Amino acid sequence: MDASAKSEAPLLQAENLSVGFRTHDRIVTVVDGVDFALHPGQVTGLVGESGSGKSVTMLALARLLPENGTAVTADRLEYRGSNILSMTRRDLRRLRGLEMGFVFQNPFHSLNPLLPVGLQIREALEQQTGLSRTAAKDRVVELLDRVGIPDSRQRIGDYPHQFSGGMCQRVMIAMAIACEPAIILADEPTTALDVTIQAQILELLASLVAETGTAIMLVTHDLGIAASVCDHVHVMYAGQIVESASVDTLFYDSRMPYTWGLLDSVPRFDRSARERLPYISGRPPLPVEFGSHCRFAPRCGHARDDCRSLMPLLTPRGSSAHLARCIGTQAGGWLEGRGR
Amino acid sequence: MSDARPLIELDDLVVQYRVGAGIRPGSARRFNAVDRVTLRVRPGEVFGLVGESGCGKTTLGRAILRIVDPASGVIRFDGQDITRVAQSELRRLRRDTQMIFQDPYGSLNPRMSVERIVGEPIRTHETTNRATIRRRVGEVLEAVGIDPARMGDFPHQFSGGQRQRIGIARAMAIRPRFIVCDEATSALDVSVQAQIINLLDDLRRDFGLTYLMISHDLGSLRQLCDRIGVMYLGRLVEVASVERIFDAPRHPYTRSLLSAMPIPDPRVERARKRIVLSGDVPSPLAAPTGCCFHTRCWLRQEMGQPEICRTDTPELAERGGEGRVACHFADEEPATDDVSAPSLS
Repeated sequence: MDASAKSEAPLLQAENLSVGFRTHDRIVTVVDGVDFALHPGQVTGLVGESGSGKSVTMLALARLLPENGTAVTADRLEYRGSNILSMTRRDLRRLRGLEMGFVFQNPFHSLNPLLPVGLQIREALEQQTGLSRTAAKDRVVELLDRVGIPDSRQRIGDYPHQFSGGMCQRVMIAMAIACEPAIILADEPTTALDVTIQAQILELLASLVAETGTAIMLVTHDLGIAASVCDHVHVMYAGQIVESASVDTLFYDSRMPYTWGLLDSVPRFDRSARERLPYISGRPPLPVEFGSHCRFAPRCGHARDDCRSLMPLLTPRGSSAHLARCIGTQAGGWLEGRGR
Repeated sequence: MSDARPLIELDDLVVQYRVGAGIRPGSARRFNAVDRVTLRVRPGEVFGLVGESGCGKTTLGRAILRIVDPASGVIRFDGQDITRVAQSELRRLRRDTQMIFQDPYGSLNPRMSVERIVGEPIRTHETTNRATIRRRVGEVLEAVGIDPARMGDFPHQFSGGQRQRIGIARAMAIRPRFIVCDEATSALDVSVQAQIINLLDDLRRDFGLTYLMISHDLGSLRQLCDRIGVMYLGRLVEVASVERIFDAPRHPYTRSLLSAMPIPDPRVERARKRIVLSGDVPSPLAAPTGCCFHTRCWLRQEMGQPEICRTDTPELAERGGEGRVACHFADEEPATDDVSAPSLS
């Protein structure tokens, strides 16, 4: 692939990606027709509440869901033009090892407690890149330095329990970037950490994007984190993307009542308390309750009859980079032109 | 309200934990999980405690409820010294003090119906009359927004937000005067969290409750609290009104804590200067001498590492401003560059 095409084309592209979980009597759709693209040097956020399908989406695009019991379908799921859905086990190993790096929520659960951390990082390196043992060792020290672990050369023999939560997450990030992946998939990477440590980790991720041009897909429920690190944000609700926009457009010119509700209901410490916190009534639906109408309609203060009978499409608002799934805010709708 | 006798009074409260208690005698080491905390909470007040994991905020809450025993110091509840009261008297104390927990899944017995869960404190403390218990459970469920017709259901039949309401109903069932809310809204989704924050606020107003809110979520604390205490390594390092803490924090740790917390507003985020603290919180077993924060303090670094921070423990005192702060150099202005390490964008 030549360089100019590379900068234009997305690294990863998903169209109409759906995931179903098989239960005893049927398939329950938990991710329903999601479209997105990851570009080099960009942080793409996948924001939503628990059960919205954001983590499953992330796992599905690396085909990390168990084959038994899940059905992943897509019109298109491509990494640099090659179809991820038709990849062999070997292709997938390469894809996950060399092209993608993973950072999960709980660093203690993601590291093997019985192996020294240096070995765990080196293992991936030796397998994927064929570096010699000594070269790989040097590279591990270099990586630990990069993610800010002090005395890295002394610490490669240490075990995960000898590191704090923040340090373990740095080890995970070192592992994720070991093979210089084009994409880092991070699922709530700082949720288990304290705020001052969270700030360090977010800063580290941002500097990786700036230095190496890696693409990051960041799954988070925290709108503050999305505001501080993402370039583009997809908001998920009940298995669907309901709004997709650049970070500024999303926060200042949202066209989706669910997003309005989310942004309004977060109490902010930098502003005086409000008499009463606005909130979204009810709760998000469970996958078995997903209907073929607007899934937010039952909780939406702006909903009309159409919302309760029609499934709105994800359509552009103003520019092709801003999409919303709402009949009310689309052209000719009763909320047209209305933002938050 | 400010003239009223405090509901909670803590004087030099110390709670110790032992670690490494092995077979060998004398192998155990002690550390102060709560270290000389002095605090007053007025009736009707919502006092927030903020700090990172391991700073002792939960232990402090548990000590006030006498779930853990203090090593030294004094705890008074409504004027009565409860530091060393006997078990029989603790039972009376439990009528006045309750707790709401973080995890709405782990804190409700899955094999008990909602009626039994919420009715248990009534049965323990007030009456065993089934009809009365049932009526009271219905009333309190109504107050927290759960349909009383569902009192025969079990916890798994409710969503996370509803379960948290049930946990609140259990705490409210015997009409306590003081409730410790330990991360009561942290496990909930944003859209549900706001409902619970409003509920806690309503209950406080309607029933004249006093809360100790333990949380790491600064936004929830600002919404609910009158005053805030900031803890670091077992010590209170700053106490002030909610406005002072958030708009004009004085302790360098408070300032870095606020600056580390992302704000859901991209333009504000890009304009912010972030103080990124280096390293981790030290182990309480090897707590630093002098000021407990001096090993990570950006202000000390900026001031050329003054010795006093390493040698003298700053007391929590007014130091010529509003509120109380434990820093030799509180109110020093940060330099315009350097300290406010790289921003995130």
